[in-house]
Amino acid sequence: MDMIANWLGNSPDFAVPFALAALGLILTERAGVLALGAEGLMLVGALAAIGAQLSFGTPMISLILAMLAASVVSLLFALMVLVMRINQVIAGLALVFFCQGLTGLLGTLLEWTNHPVTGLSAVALWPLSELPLIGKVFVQNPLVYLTPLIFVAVVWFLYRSNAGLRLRAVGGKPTGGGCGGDFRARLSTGGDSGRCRADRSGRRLYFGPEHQNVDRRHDRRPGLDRRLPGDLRPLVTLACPGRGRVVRLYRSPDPATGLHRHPPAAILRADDALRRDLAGDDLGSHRHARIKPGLRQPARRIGGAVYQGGAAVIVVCSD
Amino acid sequence: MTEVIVQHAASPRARRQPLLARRYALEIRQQLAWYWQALIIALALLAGLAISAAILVGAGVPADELLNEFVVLTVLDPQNFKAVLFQAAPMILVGLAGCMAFRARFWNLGLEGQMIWGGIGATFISLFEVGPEPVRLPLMLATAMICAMLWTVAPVLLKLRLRVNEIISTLMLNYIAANFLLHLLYGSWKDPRDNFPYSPALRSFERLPDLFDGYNAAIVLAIIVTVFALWFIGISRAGLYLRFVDANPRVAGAVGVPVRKMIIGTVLLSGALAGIAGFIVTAGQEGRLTQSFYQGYGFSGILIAFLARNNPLAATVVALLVALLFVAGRSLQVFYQIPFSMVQLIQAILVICVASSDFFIRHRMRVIQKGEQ
Repeated sequence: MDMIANWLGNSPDFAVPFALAALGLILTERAGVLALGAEGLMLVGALAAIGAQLSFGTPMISLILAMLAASVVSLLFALMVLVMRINQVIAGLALVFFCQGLTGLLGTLLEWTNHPVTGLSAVALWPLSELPLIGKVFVQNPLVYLTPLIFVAVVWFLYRSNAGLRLRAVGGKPTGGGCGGDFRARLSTGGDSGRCRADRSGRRLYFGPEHQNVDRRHDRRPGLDRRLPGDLRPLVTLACPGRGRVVRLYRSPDPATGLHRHPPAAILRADDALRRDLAGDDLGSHRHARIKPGLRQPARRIGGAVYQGGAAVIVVCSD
Repeated sequence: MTEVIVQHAASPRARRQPLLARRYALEIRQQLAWYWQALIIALALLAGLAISAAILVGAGVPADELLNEFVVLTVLDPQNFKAVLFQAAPMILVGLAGCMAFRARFWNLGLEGQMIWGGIGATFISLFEVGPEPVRLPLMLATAMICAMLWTVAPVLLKLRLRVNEIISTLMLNYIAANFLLHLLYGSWKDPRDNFPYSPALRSFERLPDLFDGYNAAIVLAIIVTVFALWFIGISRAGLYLRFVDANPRVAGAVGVPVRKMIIGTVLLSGALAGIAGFIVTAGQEGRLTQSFYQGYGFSGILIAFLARNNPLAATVVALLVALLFVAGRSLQVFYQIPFSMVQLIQAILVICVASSDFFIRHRMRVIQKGEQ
C-alpha cells in the first residue's frame, strides 16, 4: 500500500519534465520545424537554473532565468533554421552539441557542479492531500500544479487564438520537418500585402478568421504588375526556396460582379509555377488541403475552392 | 552579396535609403563559381575558428599556446599523430556511414545504435571463442558488420513500407541498443575478474594489431573502407543509381532505377560501416566492450558527413580534423583543466558556421528600391 502511495506521489514529479519538453516540441513541430535540440535547451535551462539558484537562492528567479536562457538558445536555433535555412536535422544536432559543450564548459569553469541547492518546496493541497492512498499526489512542487494549466493555455493558444491559427497554418505541411522551415520565411511580399493578413506558408495561403481584416489598400494602388492583363494584382508573392523559384498569387475581380471581394470569395490566380506545385502529387494527397483537379479549367472560373479542417481556405483559379 | 548592394547604390538613379527603411529581397542563386563557394566556406571556417579560439582563450588557454596545442603537438609530434590517426579511424567510418545513408536520402541518426551492435557482435565472437585464433579477428569484423546491418533493417523497411519517419525511428533505436548494451554489461557479460560493468578484456590476438612503426591496423582498415566507398559512390553502377535516387526518387523510379533496392542496400551498407566503427573502438581503442564507447561518435559522424557534403574523401579529411580536435581536447583537459565538452562546443560552432555559409552560397540579398515591389 505504502509503495503504491509513494509511487503515485512521485510520478507527477518525474512526469513534469517530460510533459513540458514534449509540449515545447509540439509547439515547434506545429510550426513545421523539426526540433531535435530539446535536450540541449533543457541542459541550458538546467545550467541557468542552478547558477541562479546558487547566486540568488530564489526558485522563482531561477525559473525565469532558466526559461530566458533556453529561449535565447532557442532563438539561435530559429536563426539557424529560419534565417540561415540550415537543414533542421543538422541544426538540431549541432544545437545539442553546442549546448552540451557550453553547459559542460560553463558549469566547470564557474564551478557550479556538485553543489546541493534547495529548490522548490512541495506544497500540499490541503483537503486533497489528506486523502488515503492518493493523498501524496497532491503534495507537489508548484510547477507540477502549473503544468496542466500550461497545457490548457497552449491548447487555447493553438486552437482558439489567431496567433495559434497562424502557427498551425505555417506548419501545415504534411512532411513536417522537410521544408517547413524553408517555406515559411516571408521573403518578399507583393504590393502592399504586408498588410494582407493571410498567412504565408509557402505554397498555400491560409485565410484565417481574420480574413475580414484583409486590407484592401493594395487594390487601389495602380497596377503593380503590368505584365498581367486586366486588373489582376499580386496578392502576395511567395518564394519557395526549396523549389528555387518565386511564385505569385493574384487576385482577380469576381467574374460575376467585377468587384474585388474578400477571401474566401476572392479568386486567386496562380501562375504556372504555382499551379504546377499545387497540382503536384505532394500537395494533392495532403489531407488538409486537397487541391482538386480543375486547376486547368477555362479562364475566369474558380478552379477549386478548398476547405478542409481548420480555418484554412485556399481558393485557386486558373486563368 | 555585398557586391550586389554596392552596385545598386552606385547606379545613378538609385537613391540610398535610410538603413532602417531598407527592405531586402532574398534571391536564390542558380550558380556560384566554385572559387566563390570555396571563399565563402573558408571565411565561415575562419569565423568559426576565431570564435572557438576566443572561447578557448576565455577559458584560460594562453593565446600563444593555441597553435602549439592544436597543430604542433598533434600533427608534428609523431606519437600524437599516431594517436590522431587511431582516433580518426572510427570517425572516418561513422562519417562514411553517414555519407552513404544521406546519399540515399535516409537520415540515419542511428549510427550510435549500429556502432553498439557492431561492438556487441565483435565481443560475442570473442566471448564465445568462435572460430580458430587466426580467423578470430576477421570473424569479429564480419559479425560486427552483420549485427549493425541488421539493426538498420527495421527503420528502412518501416520507412519504405509504412512511411515511418526514419529520423525518429533510428534515433529511438539508439536508446534501445544502448540499454541493451547496459543490460549485457551489468548482466551476463560482466567481467568476472573485477565485476566492473564491462566485458572481459579481449585477448591479444583479438585486438587490432599495430602494423608497422606503431601505426594501428584501424587506420589501414579505415583507408581501405574509404577507397571502397569512393569506388562505390564514384565508379560503381550502384553509385550512379544512387545519384539518381538522391536527386529525385520518383523520377529515378520512373526511369527504371531500382529505388527501393538502392535505398535498402545503401542503408544496410551505412549500418555495416557504423558496425565497423564499433568494432574498431571495441577491438582497437578500448580492448573490451564498455558502457559508453559509442558516445559522441554517432552525432560526430552525422556532422562529418554534413560538412563533407556526403563526399567520402572529404569525409575522411573532416574526420581527421575532428580526431585532431579530440586529441588536442584531451591534452587541454590534462594541461589546462578544460572540460572535454569544449571539443563538442568547438565542433558545434564550426558546424554552425559552415552550415550558415551555405546560406550565402545559395542566396543573395538585394536592396529593394523604393517604388519597386
